[in-house]
Amino acid sequence: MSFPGPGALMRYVKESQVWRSLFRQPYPTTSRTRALAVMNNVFLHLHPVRVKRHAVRYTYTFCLGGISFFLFLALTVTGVYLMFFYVPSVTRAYQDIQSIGTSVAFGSLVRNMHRWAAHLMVLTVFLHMMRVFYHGAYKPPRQFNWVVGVVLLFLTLMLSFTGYLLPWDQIAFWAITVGTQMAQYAPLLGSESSFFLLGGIEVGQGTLIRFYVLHVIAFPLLAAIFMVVHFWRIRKDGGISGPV
Amino acid sequence: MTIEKRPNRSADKTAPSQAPARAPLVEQPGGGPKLPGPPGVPGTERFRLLAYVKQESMVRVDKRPDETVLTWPHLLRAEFLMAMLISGVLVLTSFFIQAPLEQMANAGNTPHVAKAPWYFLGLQEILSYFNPTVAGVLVPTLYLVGLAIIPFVDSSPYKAARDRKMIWIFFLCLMIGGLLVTFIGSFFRGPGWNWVWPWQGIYFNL
Repeated sequence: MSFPGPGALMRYVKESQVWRSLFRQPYPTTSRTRALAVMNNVFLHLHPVRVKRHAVRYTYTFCLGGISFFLFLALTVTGVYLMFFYVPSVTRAYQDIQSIGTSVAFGSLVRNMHRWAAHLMVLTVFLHMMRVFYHGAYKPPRQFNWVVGVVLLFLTLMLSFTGYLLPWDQIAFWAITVGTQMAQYAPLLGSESSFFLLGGIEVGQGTLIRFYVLHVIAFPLLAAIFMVVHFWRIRKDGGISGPV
Repeated sequence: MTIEKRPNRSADKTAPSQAPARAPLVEQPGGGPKLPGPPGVPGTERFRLLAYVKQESMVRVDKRPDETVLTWPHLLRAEFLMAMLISGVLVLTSFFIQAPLEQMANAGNTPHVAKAPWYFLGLQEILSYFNPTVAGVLVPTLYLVGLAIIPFVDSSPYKAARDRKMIWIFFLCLMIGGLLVTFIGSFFRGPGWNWVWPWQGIYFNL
């Protein structure tokens, strides 16, 4: 009795129904199959099949929009991991952050990644806006997408700001106290808007749960919706803008 | 065949003397070829033959040089490399630099200086110049609105900086102004929001 060699085994696997349902086409090596791969894959079809030659030069965009999106994804993944070990309660939050740093597998690394990626994202979103301005890429027909971008900038700041409170240490508490004090002076609304933000007269349990829910669900969801529109508009407005 | 449509010169009122001197021709009786007619009469524009190109089935004659590349591999390679680079930078940074964590929040223990997150320090800085309604509410609102209306203020098709000086100045004012106050609020403010030189102490948290 003879056993099949590795070649025969590989052939058997590749001809199986399971393999062929997962990889419906062979690895694309021709222009035609590469075009089809981009068109037929739900993730890749965010892109057009062909892009302008200048658009793939690093020094045209510095990949700033792409980096911002990538950081958003990285923040989602690390954020979900942190959610397993964090309870948004004024009596537990601080200890949870401490134990994430000491007794959770990769906890310290993941928390650091979440924090640094958040700061970096604020920076890259700003730089992306400057790049777009420099190239005059807000001009017709891209006016609407510029406005969507400004909304995304605002949402990025709000995501970062709401996350800032969650460690519930002195930095967080006083930064949010200072930040939300400004809202008291809103014309017409006044102290009402401050109460609405804080869920009380000062930063406390009401604030923590509000900021937590906004941080982990409301703002990410809103940002995702605006990002979908943002990317869709790039395609609909004829791809990336031309050089100056 | 490549045919160039020539402008009907009689429509150009600034140069009436440029009108064709040739006698106007009209459609030939018996359905012959259309020849130049009187200027200004629709359907009688004049054409001239520039070149004769053999048409190969469906290939378009006016095909321009291809200025595009395939997304797979060109764009995807760039995206992949950038994703790897950013991941590497992020993991290395997070491996060596700890995220700050101070004492547990205590409403009774006010620190020497309470600072907002760094991207709001510009706001906190101007809060020390103007009254809170202006600095805390009007300025940030107008800042965002100012950014959002840029494409509607400057909708000319020109992209070079010299062709859109006004909007460049407006944008640079927003950016440099914002950067300046953020920088001052971050590194030049200490206890009681008093001026502190960076070498006297830095009161800044990330």
